[in-house]
Amino acid sequence: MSLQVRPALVPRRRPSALAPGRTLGDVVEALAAEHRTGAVQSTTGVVHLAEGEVLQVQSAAAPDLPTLLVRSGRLTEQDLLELSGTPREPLFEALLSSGRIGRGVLELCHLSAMSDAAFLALPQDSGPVRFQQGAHPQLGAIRPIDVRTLRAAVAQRRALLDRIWPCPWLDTAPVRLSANTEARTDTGWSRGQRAVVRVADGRRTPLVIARLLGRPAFATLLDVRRLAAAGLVETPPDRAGPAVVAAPVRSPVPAALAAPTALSAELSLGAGESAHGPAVPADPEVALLIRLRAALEARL
Amino acid sequence: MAGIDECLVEAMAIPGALGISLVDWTSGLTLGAAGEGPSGDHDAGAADATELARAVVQNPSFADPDSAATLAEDVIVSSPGRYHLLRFVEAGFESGTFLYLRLDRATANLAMARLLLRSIAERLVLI
Repeated sequence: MSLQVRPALVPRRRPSALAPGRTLGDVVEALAAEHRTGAVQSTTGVVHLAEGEVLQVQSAAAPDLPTLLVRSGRLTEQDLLELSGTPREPLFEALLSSGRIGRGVLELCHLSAMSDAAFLALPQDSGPVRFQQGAHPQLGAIRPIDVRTLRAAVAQRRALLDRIWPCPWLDTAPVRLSANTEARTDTGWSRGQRAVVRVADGRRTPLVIARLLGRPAFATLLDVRRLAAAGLVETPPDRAGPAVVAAPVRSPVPAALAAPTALSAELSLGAGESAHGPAVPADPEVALLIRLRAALEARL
Repeated sequence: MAGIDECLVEAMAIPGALGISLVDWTSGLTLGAAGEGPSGDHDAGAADATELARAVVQNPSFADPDSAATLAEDVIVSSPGRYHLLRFVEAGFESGTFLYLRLDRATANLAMARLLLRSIAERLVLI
């Protein structure tokens, strides 16, 4: 039985920087304060709580734990298929008992995946939210984390990006290399920065690039800001104009990128519940992003 | 195969160890801790150590000259009474973490502590 949580106390007919509505992080923190156990689902992600602590965060725009394990070469997709969790033995336990992965790596990878998803999902305007009381994450539970600690970590990461290059709109803009970047042979680039430069084609945004490379979204955003600070990636003028509408540029991901349609079937809660949220994004740039992603997924 | 907490307990057995934490330098978050933090506060220590780790990770001068792919391995700070030892954890999925070990200079052996911490960092991400 699922419980409907009202998304906002204030009517949100006129979203603006002054009345930005509640973020998913606000909703999760309120539920955690009541020591709730279950799954919070919004248009931007899914958060699992147990006794008020966060067990797992998922965002359609961030690579999940199995993706990170496969991309790092620690497991093959075949391993994952063989080990795919069952309700009686969730994936975490199956991985550990198989002896194919150490507990330390699994814990670190889980924390990485969770931080990455939290960075994308928690600061977003929550939109309509559903809470499924008592739901447990399919992966299982290791190293739960306090929601305030997690939100503080998200804020620190955002501050780090802005310290490197204070242009938040770069997070959602297509990555365009500067004219002389190809010719530059500096050795000061990291492996990640080289990978970003290799696939930046002037149309892909940092999140599309992250998905293409199977890298954490935050690590990719960090590389893009560093490349921009070094003048290797162009910094376009802020399209929203200075301090007119803060909300769109403050968001690292357009909310619709993580719309319910994008969440995989295993994440959708309570069969028969209708999906809330906009099916068709009003912003044409968001629509373009979604088309781009669909095209990329079709090629994978 | 050891988890984060077991590795931290193991690090506390290094001679002279006062406190150890596993820290995410992208967020300053303490992912685990054992022993005493600086002034009794692991989180404040993690925030300060994060500044140090970022200064090393983000500046190419600290990477090997021939390849930026080889980043710094550890950072050592010494004061008259303490050694502070940071060891970056290479997990293969850009976890952005490091171990932060504080040692009592009177009883610690820096060279040995560095080797032991390296082996713990490697064991943490084994298999």
